[in-house]
Amino acid sequence: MSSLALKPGQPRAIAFAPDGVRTDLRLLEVDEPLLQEIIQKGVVIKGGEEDEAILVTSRRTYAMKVVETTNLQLLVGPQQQENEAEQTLDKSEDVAAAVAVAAEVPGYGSGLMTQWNHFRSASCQDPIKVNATSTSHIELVEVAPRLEALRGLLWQRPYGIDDERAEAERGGTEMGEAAGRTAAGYTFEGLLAMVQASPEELRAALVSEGALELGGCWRAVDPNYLGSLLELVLLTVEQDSMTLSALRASRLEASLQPEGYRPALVRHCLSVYGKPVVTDSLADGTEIVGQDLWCLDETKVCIHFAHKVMGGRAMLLSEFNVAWRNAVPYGMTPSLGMLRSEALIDGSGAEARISSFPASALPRDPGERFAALFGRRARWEWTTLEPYLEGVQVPGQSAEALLMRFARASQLTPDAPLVYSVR
Amino acid sequence: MIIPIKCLGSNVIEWVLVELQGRIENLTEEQTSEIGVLLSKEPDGKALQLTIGYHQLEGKRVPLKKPLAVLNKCERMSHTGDASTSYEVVGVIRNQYLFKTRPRALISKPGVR
Repeated sequence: MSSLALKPGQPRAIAFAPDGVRTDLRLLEVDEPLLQEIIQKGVVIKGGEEDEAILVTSRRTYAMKVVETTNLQLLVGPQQQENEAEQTLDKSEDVAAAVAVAAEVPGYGSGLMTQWNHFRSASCQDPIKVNATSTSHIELVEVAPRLEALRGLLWQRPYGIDDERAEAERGGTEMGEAAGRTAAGYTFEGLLAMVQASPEELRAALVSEGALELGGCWRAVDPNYLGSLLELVLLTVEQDSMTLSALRASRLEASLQPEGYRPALVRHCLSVYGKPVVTDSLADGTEIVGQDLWCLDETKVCIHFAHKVMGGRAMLLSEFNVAWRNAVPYGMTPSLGMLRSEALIDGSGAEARISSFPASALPRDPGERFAALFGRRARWEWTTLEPYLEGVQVPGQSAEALLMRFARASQLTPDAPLVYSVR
Repeated sequence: MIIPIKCLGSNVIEWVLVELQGRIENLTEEQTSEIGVLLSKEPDGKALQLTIGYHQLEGKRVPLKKPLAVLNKCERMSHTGDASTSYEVVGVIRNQYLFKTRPRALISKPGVR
């Protein structure tokens, strides 16, 4: 019953339930979609002992906050349906009549006789039973998932050249690896248990971290290793005269396996630096099965070579541009716009220098990210700053709100561009 | 640590919340579970009277902006000896009967019957 089914003019007694009144029930404020999800699928509260409790649905993450009230909340559960007709008729007709009169005449409702009539009338029926009381409820605030822990877990044992060698020595297959000594990395379920994020958010994070799934376990890949593999792939592509926009994964895997590279790694490299091409069949009429056809992403490949050319130090921009153009594969054209969230240019003119500064290495938490940005450079213009804020989200807060919170805007002259510095 | 919240069964039972300001105290010596008498004067639940002892409060039925789920905590010991906690939804509250006026003391006027 969504109401107490009070009949106008008919008083009901309200009393604590004789079989006990609970004080340990918790009230959780939800909205209708969340309530439906709880009823149909269930949701989960996650957290370590020191973490804040986080409620996670299949797609979203919420922080749980207890809100106390000084009011008394009486919780009335489902009531027994009495046979009302039988109970009221013989006993309280006259009482009901008196009560009805009192209800309509103003000022008549508070006399002692009226109260007595109310009481008698109410006692003809079972009282409304209060099953529980409460003085607080839990509110949910949507938050960004806590993904910092994920990086630590993925990088515990990144896949690299040692794993390749060990694999070659064992001469094992994929099955052997899973059953073998250590399947390094964590399963998806294992990660879900340790990271305060919903399954959908976790999947998105695994993709953006470039994590590798091998034998059901997820881990990071050593970037140097992956970079060398990319270059080998590009070399093979050139040697076999494949087109960069229509690479057959199976052919690449076949060419690289004798070099000691597992097919799964080749595929992973393709997925990090490119994307699958969806097509039904090629011009020559052959069918493509599964995701065999891949197209390399020019921006991502150029970024790789940019970092390689810079080699972790600052370089004269003029020299960098030349070296970069020579490094990228034939058919690809690098442009500085590709590096908007990967590198910073300091100085100008002949003295301009470029250095590596990838956004992916920065913290996700807004406060920490701004600290890292201002640590690297004290003053930022919006056009240079914006790409570095793309990975930072707080539900319910726009980029402008974050800027107001963590940065201070200033202008040299009224027409000069806005410059942001630490608050 | 993972604590699931789920609902047994596909339909959820409706509960009702009666909210009062302050606390209820039993000043008599006898043990009683009575609270008071609730009377509705209009059919739409907009004018309600709750009489507790010799005080009367006015209130109304208000739908909640966001429903409240009523959760019961279940601690279970599995056969391996691990304790697992879960919450079960025993009901949902969509309406509250809110009494927030100052209680009025009922004084019997002599001569009015």
